Parts: sequence; structure tokens; C-alpha cells
Amino acid sequence: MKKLFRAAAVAAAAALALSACGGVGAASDPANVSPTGEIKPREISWLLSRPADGAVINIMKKLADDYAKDHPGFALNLITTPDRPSYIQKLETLAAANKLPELFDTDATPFAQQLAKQGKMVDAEKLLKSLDVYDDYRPGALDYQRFDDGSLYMIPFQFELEFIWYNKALLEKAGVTVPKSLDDLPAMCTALRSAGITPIAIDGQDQWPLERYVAYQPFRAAGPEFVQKLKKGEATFTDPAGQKTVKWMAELGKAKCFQDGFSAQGYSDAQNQFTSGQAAMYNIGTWELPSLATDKLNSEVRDDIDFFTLPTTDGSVTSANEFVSPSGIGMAVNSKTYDPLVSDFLKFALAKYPAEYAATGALSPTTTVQTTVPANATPLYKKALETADTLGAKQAMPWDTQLDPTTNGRLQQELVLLVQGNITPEQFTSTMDNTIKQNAPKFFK
Amino acid sequence: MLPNRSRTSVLVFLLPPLLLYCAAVLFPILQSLFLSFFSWNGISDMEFVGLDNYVRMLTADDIFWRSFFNALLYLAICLVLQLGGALVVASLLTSLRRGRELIKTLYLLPAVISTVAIAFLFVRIYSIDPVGLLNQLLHWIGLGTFERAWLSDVNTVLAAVSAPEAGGSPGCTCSSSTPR
Repeated sequence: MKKLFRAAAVAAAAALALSACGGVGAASDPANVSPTGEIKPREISWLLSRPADGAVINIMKKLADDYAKDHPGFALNLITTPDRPSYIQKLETLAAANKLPELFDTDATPFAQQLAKQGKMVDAEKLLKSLDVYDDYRPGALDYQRFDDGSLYMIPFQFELEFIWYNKALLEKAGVTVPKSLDDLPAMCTALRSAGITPIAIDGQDQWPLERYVAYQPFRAAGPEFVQKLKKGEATFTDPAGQKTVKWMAELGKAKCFQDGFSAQGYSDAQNQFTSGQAAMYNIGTWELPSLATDKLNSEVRDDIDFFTLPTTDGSVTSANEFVSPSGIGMAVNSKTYDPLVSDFLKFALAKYPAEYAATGALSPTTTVQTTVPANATPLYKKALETADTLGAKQAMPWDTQLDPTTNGRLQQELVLLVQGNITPEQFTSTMDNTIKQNAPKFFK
Repeated sequence: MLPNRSRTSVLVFLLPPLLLYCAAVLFPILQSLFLSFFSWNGISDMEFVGLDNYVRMLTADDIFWRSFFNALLYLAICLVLQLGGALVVASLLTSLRRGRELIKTLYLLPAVISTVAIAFLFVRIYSIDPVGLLNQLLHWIGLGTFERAWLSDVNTVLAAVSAPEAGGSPGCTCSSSTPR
């Protein structure tokens, strides 16, 4: 028996030692975007984080089927995990095991940048240029996917604009107008509250919606560079732009801008509050056009709904036509498995995708196609689409794609506490500055 | 140790489960222990840092201690509700003369509802906007001052989360402590 245990212990130690060496594997040249050789059809996989019955997946499935007709043996295996935190965990585990599939979704996160630096992703700028479609893309759609150094490793499949939707009747009832400045928002909330109206409906469960708000003031006061410096520890929440957003978030909380108990309410709860006429404002992107700007919208509020874009502030360094305009999670191409087949399929799919996507009533990441306005749309639909044509050059990046994972998680928790009044702006500032100081150097060295 | 059994038969019966246990439980635990001495995010180079991670966890990480004490409190709430509640219900059940089996079955039913469904249910029950069951009840019996967003209030959220978790299982505990 003793011998047996000794043998088991030795085996375990050997296995541990082996597993420790399995981290980094060889990658092929990420800059070689036109692999030569024969196209050998096989099944390839795309690990994604998009709605299972959404337009992107449906279209890519159809395009893969079309491609398979000429290339028997080809199949595109789509594995989607729409819940983002679970997806990120899956992606990071597969990356650690060096088992990423041919195609995988990721935002331009610090983690993705490390993968790119290790040569595990194909250079998307070179890839798109070699397919002769690079110039078709909206510059903003590509910029959203870029890392801070300007390099591009992900391909966008969407283009969205984020607006603050509002209910004209409720604003009128409270005697307030559309805010001219971000700084008007707290007073506006107080007025709405005294008229018995919930000012803003927010999905607190998913945390990113509240994290949008913390990005607004710094984007106006210091431009998109603020978060780029903040995440590396080169700027802090103690800086003027940082203090402005911390105080503003606390004021939003004090003015009870968000519905009571917002942190326990989900995506559809928030949307229902707005579409049922209980909440006056709702911050969401054009992906919700089908439910907010068509006859699917509750007829009682349909004529009262409008939207405004992110207000500016006094001394704002960004303009009114610059706000959050994400091109969604991007698709990265694994350089290890990149071969003539993957290259040929992407060439086929990326050429046909924009027209199919625009036909669903969504904004294509390219400028080559015209979006079809659905037959049941309200006039707001067209107005929203047209806003895309007048965008400025800068865009506000969602902070959850920018910060290192630990800092991001802590920020999401502390923000709720700050807005609920459980911690003071000073406590928030020192906690967050410490967290960044501790975690940023590891990620951005 | 087992006078009437041969060594071989002991090995034949014990070895397969032991190996399975080693592969599925023991090995991952040892591996985590091994990894805890490194600074590594899965794709970066592994850097040996000795006990640094532990030092930071125990001395510099306020989140660790908060979650540690939250876990203790959670355990306390669950134990009291599960064991205490179950004993009370069990003794009530023994005093029943008729319909005991029926009541027992009814009482056990919630235990078979999946955790996800229970979570969704209680999010609604605790809700304040729109007003959920709990806040409405408080309002009806004149305790309107106690109405709150149970899951958003940092003072109540831990108890609010523990209660349904513990509440599901007295069913199991109590049915086993009821004389049949």
C-alpha cells in the first residue's frame, strides 16, 4: 500500500511539472495573410459571444452553407456563449490551454493584446487589405477594434450608436427639457423624481450599463485618451477629469437618477420600465431599434419616444457628434490554424456579409451598403440610422473593454456602492486608484 | 485489516475509485496549490513569486477578508435555517396524526425546483420597483417603513440571498429526521 502511494505521489509531481511547460506553443507568422497551397475543405469553428438567433450568426450560417456547396467537406461550427462573463472565462481557459479555434470573438482588451503580441492572432489590417475590403469599412468601426498602439487584430461585424432615449411626455410633465450639458442631469433627475417619475431605467445586473456612465465625463473633459492613461496608471481618479466623473456619479446617485434597487434588475426589466412609460430615460444602442423604433413598441408611448446623443459639457474637448459608437465584439483569426481554407472562406464571407446584414435593418460596419429600413419602422428608425453619417472622428470607448480584468471587476462593484451612497467619493477614489496601481503594471508592462 | 479478504480483492475494488478520485479531485487541488506560487494569467510567462500571492491575500486584499466573513455569516444563516428550521418542522410533523405523508410531500416539493428558477423567483419577491411580494406584504401589515430593495441594500443582501438557499433544503433535512 505504501509503495502504491509513493508511486502515485511521483506520478502527480511529474504531471504537475509537465503541465507547467504546456503554456506557450508555436504560432505561425501572424503577418502572413495570404497562405499559399491547396484549399482543403474541413470543419472549422468559430467561438463567439453573440445572440444565438441574431443576424450575425444567421447570416454567417447561411454563407457557410453556400460556401460548402462549392467546397464539399467544409462546415462552420458556431459555438456561442452570449453571456459575456462566462464567454470570457471560456476564452481565457482555451487560450491558456493553447486550444483556441480557427476564429474567436474578443474585444480589444488587454488580454487580447497579449495574445496578439505573442503572435497568436492574424494581423487583421493586413488581412482586410489583402482581401481588398479594408477601405470599405467605416473608420470608426475599425478604430473601435484597434488596440491603443493602433494595431488591428479583430474584424467588426456590427456598427452601433448609443443614444439616450427619452419619453417626451414624461419630461414635459416634470417641466424639464433635454439636457444641454451632462452637468444638467442630476437636477433633471430631481425634478423628475418630484413628479413621481423614475428618471433613468438601467440594467444594473449586467454592470456594463452603469460603467458607461463613468466614462462620459472624462470623455468630454479629457477625450478618449483619459481611459488609455488611466488603465496604465498614468492617469488617476484623483486627476481633475477623474474627480469630475466620481463626483458626478455620486450626484446621480444622490438625485436618485436610477430606479430603486437598480442593481438587482436585469436587461429586460430596465427596458420594460422605459417602454411601459414609467421611466423617462434609457441609455441603449441601435441594436434595440427593432424594439424601440418599430410598431413593436408599446403604442401608448410610441409617439412620445425620441432620443438625444451624449450631451457635451462646458469646455468639452470632444464634440456633440462624438459619443459611444461600438462595432461590437470583434472576430479574431487564430494564426496557428490559419491556412488557405480559412483565408478563402473569409474572403468569400466578408464580401457577401455587408449586403445580407444591412438587409436585416442593421447598420453594416462597412459603407458599401444601404441599410433597409423595415416596413414597420417609426420615423425614429431612419433618424437613428442617419446619425451614423454625421459622426465625428473620436469615440468614447466602453471602459469594460479597456481596463484589466481585476480593475474592471472592482470598478463595477465600487460604482454600484458609490451610486447607492454606501461609500463616499473619497473612498471610491482611493480604492480605485490603489486597485489600478496594483493590477495595471502586470498587464501593461 | 480485513482478515477474510485477500489483498488483491481489496486492490481491485479500491484502486479504480481511488484513481478516479486522484484524477478528478486530488490532482486539480495539487495543481492549484502549485500554481498559487506563480504570477500567471494563463497566457503570460509564468513567474515564480513564492508566497507573495498569499501575503497579499492575507494582508493587503480587503476583498478577501470581506468575502471570508460574508461566507462565515452565510454559513451561519444556512445552518440555523437548515438544521434549526428542519428540526422544528420535523417535530411539528411527528405530532400530525393524519395526512403526514401528504404534508411531507408538499413540504419537499420546493426542494426539486432548480436553483436557477428559485433565484429568478426570489428576485421578483424581493423587488421594490415594481413592488414585489415581500415589500407588498410589509406594506399591507403596516410595516411600510421596512420596505426596501432587499437585494441592493448592502445591509440586507447577504441575508436575503442566504434565506432562499437555506430555505430549499430544510425539506430534505426534515424529512430524514421525521420518523417514518
